[in-house]
Amino acid sequence: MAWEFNGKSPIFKQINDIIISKIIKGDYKSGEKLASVRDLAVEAGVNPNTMQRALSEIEGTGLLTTLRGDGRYITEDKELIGKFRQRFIEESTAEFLGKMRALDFSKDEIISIISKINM
Amino acid sequence: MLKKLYKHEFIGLYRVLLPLYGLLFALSGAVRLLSMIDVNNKVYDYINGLTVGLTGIMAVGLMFASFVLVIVNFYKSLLGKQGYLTFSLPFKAHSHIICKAVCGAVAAVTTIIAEFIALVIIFGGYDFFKELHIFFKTVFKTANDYFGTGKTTLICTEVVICALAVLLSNILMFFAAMAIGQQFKNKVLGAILSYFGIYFAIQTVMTVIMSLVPRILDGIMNSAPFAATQKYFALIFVIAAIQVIGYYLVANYFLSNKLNLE
Amino acid sequence: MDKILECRGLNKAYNGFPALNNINLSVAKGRIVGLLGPNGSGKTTLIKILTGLLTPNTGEILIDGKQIGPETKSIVSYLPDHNFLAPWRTVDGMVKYFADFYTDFDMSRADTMLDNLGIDRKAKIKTLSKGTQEKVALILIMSRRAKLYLLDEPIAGVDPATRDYILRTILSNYDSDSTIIISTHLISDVEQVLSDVVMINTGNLVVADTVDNLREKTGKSVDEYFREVFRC
Repeated sequence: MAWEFNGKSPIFKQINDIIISKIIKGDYKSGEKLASVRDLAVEAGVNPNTMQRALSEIEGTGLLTTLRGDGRYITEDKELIGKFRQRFIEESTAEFLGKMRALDFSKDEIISIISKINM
Repeated sequence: MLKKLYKHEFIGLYRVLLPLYGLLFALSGAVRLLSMIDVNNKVYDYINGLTVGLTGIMAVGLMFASFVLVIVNFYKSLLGKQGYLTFSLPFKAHSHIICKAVCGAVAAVTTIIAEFIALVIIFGGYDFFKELHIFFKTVFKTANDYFGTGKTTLICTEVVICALAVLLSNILMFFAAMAIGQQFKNKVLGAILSYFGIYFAIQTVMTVIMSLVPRILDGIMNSAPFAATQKYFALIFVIAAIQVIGYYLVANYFLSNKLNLE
Repeated sequence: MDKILECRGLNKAYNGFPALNNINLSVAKGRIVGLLGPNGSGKTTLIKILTGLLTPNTGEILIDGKQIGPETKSIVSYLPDHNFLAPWRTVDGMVKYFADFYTDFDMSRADTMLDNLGIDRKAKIKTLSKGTQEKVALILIMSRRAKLYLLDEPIAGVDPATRDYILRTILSNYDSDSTIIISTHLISDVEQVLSDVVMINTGNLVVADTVDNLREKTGKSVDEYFREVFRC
């Protein structure tokens, strides 16, 4: 099944988010070779040019590296991945807290609810 | 690649014709077999009569069917839904037109041959061929006496060439009519009307020419027998050839420039 | 020649009814283009002109730098929006027919796709269901290594699974040397596959841009933008 995209932001940005998520989560393991642009495009159900653009952008962050003639690899820099992981939880939490503050939830309420959740 | 075009055209025509030829031969064979049995029986007579009747219908129907097949095949593969594929092939319109005209003529000729084979199946035998041989020998001799020695072969060749030219001109006349008719909403109606249009136009032109140049007919009628045949066949051939070229150009023009698949 | 298609001043009218109005269009190689517009907007007319099935009234068209004719037909692979297969041929017969006339036909690709979809090669076309016939038609067209593919409504009227297969086939056959033009009115289904869009309305070219540009400029998906432009 193709990846899902919404109509809000450019597709290549959404692809970035999805791939970075997979790297953070470990679906794409550090040091592993990434599938070719074409294969990824088919898997995602997107135009190969769009996939190419997305991958180039991720390369810019350092999470992906290109080895001459050998394709793309996920970085071995675990620290970098850690930074992105950290940034992801910070951004998501900030968004969540923003919503909570808008409805006047207190910090204690929020912590209490979270501690009761089974993860 | 042109070879492939002809190959597929032949496949398309003969996948229908060969079974029909087979049926004709089978019926002819049945007539022959039944005629060899000598039984005095009303039922037998009915069966015999029925078989002969069927064979006769088959023989006539086959001639008709062959011609209709060529026309319908042209329509279906160029102007029907399949036309989208046919015209997407890397050929110009004229390749298709010539291919279908030539293959159509070949189909007509093989049908005539098949009819003859059917006759042979029914009547063939030593006596038959002997009679046939004597018959042709006599006809040949009489013809040679009348036209001049050795001229008969030439005349026969000319007859065949003229027949082919007339055959092609008839086939292409239908093609031209269909090419004109396909521009209109109702393609079939358009084709029928175009056909009659062309037919009457040709008749008119012929009448005009014949009346304006009476010398042509006089020239033929006042010549010695052999010279007369030469002039006659030349005339027929020229008229047919001009029509062949004319219909081809018309069909090519309309299918190249005014193509209107739905 | 990096442009697969160049149209200048293209006009086509049927008995005075203007189907295409002064179309100027240029398409590069290696693109997947959506040709979008309501029914009767002129999409099919444009495609038929590109395939050589229709002659324009005026205008210059070059496909890979060549005039429309047998040369362009051998590099253009066209999928009509209705059935065009000979009912009496077998699937195998149609494959051989294509291989006979198109030097760019890739037999192994056709074999793979027919196997993937479990299509009986010995079956006569007329015995196949409508959906299967459409799949066979698509396989034949996509098995050619053409420079320009023209797909007229390839996903309309097929079930979602087939639609996915068709889009996946289009993507996996993608070649940076060839261009695919998909004419459709089902935009949301194909949007993410496209790199460019061309929108036509009543014979006029309304939009010709990349999908990324359009999304950035309008802040909307192509589907949403289309609905806006063509609101009744």
